[in-house]
Amino acid sequence: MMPLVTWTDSTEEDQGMLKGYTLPLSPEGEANIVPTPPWHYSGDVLAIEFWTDPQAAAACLPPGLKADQCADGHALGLFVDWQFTAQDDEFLDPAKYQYREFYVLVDAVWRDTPVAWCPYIYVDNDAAMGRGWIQGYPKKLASVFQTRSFAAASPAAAPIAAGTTFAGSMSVHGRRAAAGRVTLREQVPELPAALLRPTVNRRYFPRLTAGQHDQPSVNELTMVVNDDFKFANCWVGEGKIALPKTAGEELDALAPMRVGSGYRFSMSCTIKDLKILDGLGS
Amino acid sequence: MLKGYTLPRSPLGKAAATPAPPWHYSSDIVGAEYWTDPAATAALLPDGLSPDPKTNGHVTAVFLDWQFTSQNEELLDPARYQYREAFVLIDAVWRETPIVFCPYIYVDNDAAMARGWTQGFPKRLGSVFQTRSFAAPGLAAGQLRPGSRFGASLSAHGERLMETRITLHQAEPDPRVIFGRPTVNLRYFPRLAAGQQDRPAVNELVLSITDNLTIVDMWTGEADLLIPEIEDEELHALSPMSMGKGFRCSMAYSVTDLRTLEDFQA
Repeated sequence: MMPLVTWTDSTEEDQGMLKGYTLPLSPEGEANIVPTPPWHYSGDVLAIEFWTDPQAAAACLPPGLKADQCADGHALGLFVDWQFTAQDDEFLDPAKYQYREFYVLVDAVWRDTPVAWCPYIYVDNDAAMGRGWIQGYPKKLASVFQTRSFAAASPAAAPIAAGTTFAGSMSVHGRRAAAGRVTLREQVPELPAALLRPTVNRRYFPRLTAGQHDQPSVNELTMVVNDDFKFANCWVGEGKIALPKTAGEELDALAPMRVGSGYRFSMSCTIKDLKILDGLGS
Repeated sequence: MLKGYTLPRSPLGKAAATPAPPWHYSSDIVGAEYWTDPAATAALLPDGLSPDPKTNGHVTAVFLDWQFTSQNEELLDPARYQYREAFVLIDAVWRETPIVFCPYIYVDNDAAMARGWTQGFPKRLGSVFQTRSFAAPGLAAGQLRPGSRFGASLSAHGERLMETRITLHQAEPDPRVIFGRPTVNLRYFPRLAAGQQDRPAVNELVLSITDNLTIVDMWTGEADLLIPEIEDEELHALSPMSMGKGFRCSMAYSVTDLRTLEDFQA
């Protein structure tokens, strides 16, 4: 009778037979959840700036970051319609490589540098979630949608023009957790600095070994490195955002006390690196 | 006192699968025209239509990314009113008029399915996707320029039914090169009463009426298209024998009406 489990010694020959940048590694290296960088992104963005309770913003910061005393709870809510490609024409497989995302950035300070910290982010695609975890974005799955702009004029087209309203929504397991609107007022040549702080994430991967559950294998404060950052069609206008209380989420703790401007723009960037700011230890 | 344009009708009329017309649509389109076995297209035509001897076997496969609105800012509820669709149109003739007939169409949204049935589009659910074009340039942007490529796919119940890839060559100023014929549908709603199940309650050949039809940014080029053979599906019968143009464009129109060509119940 064959044993249910056989053990073989790992050899040099075994190693390298499986390929891939992430799990699942496989003989051809095609099964991994994310292909190897560089990763190229194009997206349409709705960004709404708001001010939350400064104590709530401070409460979601990791070690190594301090609350930005000048920010008074300043935060951003962002809805993004993404298209992705790596090196093998991934953008020609839209079922797998288009996805939608919602996230919040709160103002913070790393040493003396003003940064944006991402406490919560939701996405509707497993490859994007895999890339996010590798970058330190704490991505979870959700349903995310936003009004799009189409070229042929009609009441349904949502032209990029003064007066047009765009809306975004995010639901987790069928419960609405975020809703935003941006009504365009005027085109702007560039986005304000408040939207362009460097983003800081925390790469975090826990251990399962008993007694070590609070000693993660990976625990690093990192800064996003965006290559070829490009923006187009930047508009500013009135913003609205709501973060309703939702079972199993803490996003509502960051609910707006007041709302600032809304922005709608297109962006592209390439990711092939990041900067490790601090090893936070295990 | 129940209200609503379609089922489910309700006290406030808000529960209906789709709001009442007028219906306004905006879309981006990726597609390909090709030729299949003329016997396969002829086999799909309902009473009242006959094969077009000049373009026998000509098919247009279309993938659409849709945004919809009616009178209440439905476009601000993208979760409910954006959807994706794939269908094939086959050339045919109604009396002396060249038309296209829609034998198969798949959509990923229940409101669109309800509107489709109302119009005579035989919509089923499917998963449909297409490469999009974004404004900020980059390798993932899918820009509208010579050499750009777009992909699109249709799956139902986890099986791939149709996929295409196109390469843009040049802008096409005349969208009638692709969309030059009116669309004819069959409005068909069966009875369930025993003994009457082959006598539909509704059985009408209708002409689609699109108000304010606007087609812009049309590009044409070359295309590949694949229709795999899937158990319990018949789309494969329309597999291409030779390919025509691939195309990509944006389109808008409104629907408030249709024209009944023949009422087979009358």
